[in-house]
Amino acid sequence: MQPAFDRIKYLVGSRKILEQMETVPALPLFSDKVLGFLDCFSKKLMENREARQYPDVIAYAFWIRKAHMEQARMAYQAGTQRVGRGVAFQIAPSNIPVQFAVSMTYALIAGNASIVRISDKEFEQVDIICQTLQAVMLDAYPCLAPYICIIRYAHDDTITQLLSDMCGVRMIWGGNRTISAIRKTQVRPRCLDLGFADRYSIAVVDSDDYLKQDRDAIARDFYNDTYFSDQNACSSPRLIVWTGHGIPKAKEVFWGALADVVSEKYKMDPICASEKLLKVAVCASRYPGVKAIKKDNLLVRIELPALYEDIMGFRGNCGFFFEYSADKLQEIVPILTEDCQTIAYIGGIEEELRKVIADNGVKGVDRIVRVGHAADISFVWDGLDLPNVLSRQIGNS
Amino acid sequence: MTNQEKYTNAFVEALEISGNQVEGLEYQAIPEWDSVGHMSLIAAIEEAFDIMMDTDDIIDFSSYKKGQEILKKNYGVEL
Repeated sequence: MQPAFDRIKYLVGSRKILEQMETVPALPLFSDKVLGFLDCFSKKLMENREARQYPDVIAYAFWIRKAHMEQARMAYQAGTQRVGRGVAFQIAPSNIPVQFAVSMTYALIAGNASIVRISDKEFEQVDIICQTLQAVMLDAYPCLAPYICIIRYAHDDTITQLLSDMCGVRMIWGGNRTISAIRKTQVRPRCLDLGFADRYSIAVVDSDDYLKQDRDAIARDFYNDTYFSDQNACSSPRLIVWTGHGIPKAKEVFWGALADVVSEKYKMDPICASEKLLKVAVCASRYPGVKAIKKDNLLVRIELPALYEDIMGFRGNCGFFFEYSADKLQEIVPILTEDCQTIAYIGGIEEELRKVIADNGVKGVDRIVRVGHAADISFVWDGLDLPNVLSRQIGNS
Repeated sequence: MTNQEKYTNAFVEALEISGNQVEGLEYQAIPEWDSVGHMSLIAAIEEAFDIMMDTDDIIDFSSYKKGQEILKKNYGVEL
């Protein structure tokens, strides 16, 4: 009995389940039990009227649906070669409401029991997911109840240490400060300690190809990549690099179409609005030569005359974009540091981007995706193939 | 239930619309068939016909009619 566990609030699971979690058997990769549970969970979320108000919850439900998970099971050739590592202790981020559920899903499909600590920030999505999850476990999958605890507790090194003592994998989502703070507590010698650090993302647009495409569809896609999460996601582009011959026209069309979507859909938080105004001023004083372009405060563009090496350290949110017109794609190399996560692109430039990365020994860039897919949930994250990383391979002769 | 009935039923259930609305329906033409409705619809169709749809087909599924073509051509569903 750990008295410190009295200070934990259980959204899913219980103190008893938490205390016994170390003793539950590890499961095979993509086990029948877990896939059956995810199928049921997906259906319950999809038919939940409240959940339907939240595209991110439905996108999660869609990702865990039976057909998709069965496809993945085949792709991973999950047989008896891989089993979980034990308990996966996860510290979920506070910026993306459904990420705790995605993280839990990675852990479960890899065969691990899952302890997820979520932030104190209240999100309706978190309540919907946890209530549905609890109901599915009680009604249909009591066999998985010993594998899942979703908890909240105030910053407390004693609790973090106790949970870290139990786990075979620790996954720390969230900012670099959170990672440093959590890493003051020790893990066991064989534990895999994964930190998902602060990253930034950019978009690269071939202006000539863009002008041949459906401007409204691209505006909606780009909106989903950026404004939907207030640009809080690591994968949301913050800089747009323009290439090709049609840059002036493409910029006019692109930002015009985006402004239409934004004025229709986006509700800006008042704090965000004043922060944006402040950031424009700070940015202009730090980088002389930049030009701010805005019709209103909903969509703020900062035109860069050069790609300053430290520019990506400057973080804007809620519709705050840097843009730069490049003569050659090669010019982006200095900003593709190890902190660069995703390149979202428009036009037929994927191969060229991959070549720039390979030829220049770039240490960043873990994803190259079409605009509209920056926020997609994926089995591979931050360069890690999570079903494989979170499980053990049983080798042979 | 015939395949045709199953197909129509998936639209009715997933998008919460009436059966006489589905013929000739196109993606984004009604508020119910938005990107969220699309995910519910694809999940319902996969379930109804016990198939797994490719990402390209999920994107191409842009109308009631187009969906029938995709199911016939790529998944051997007789409609």
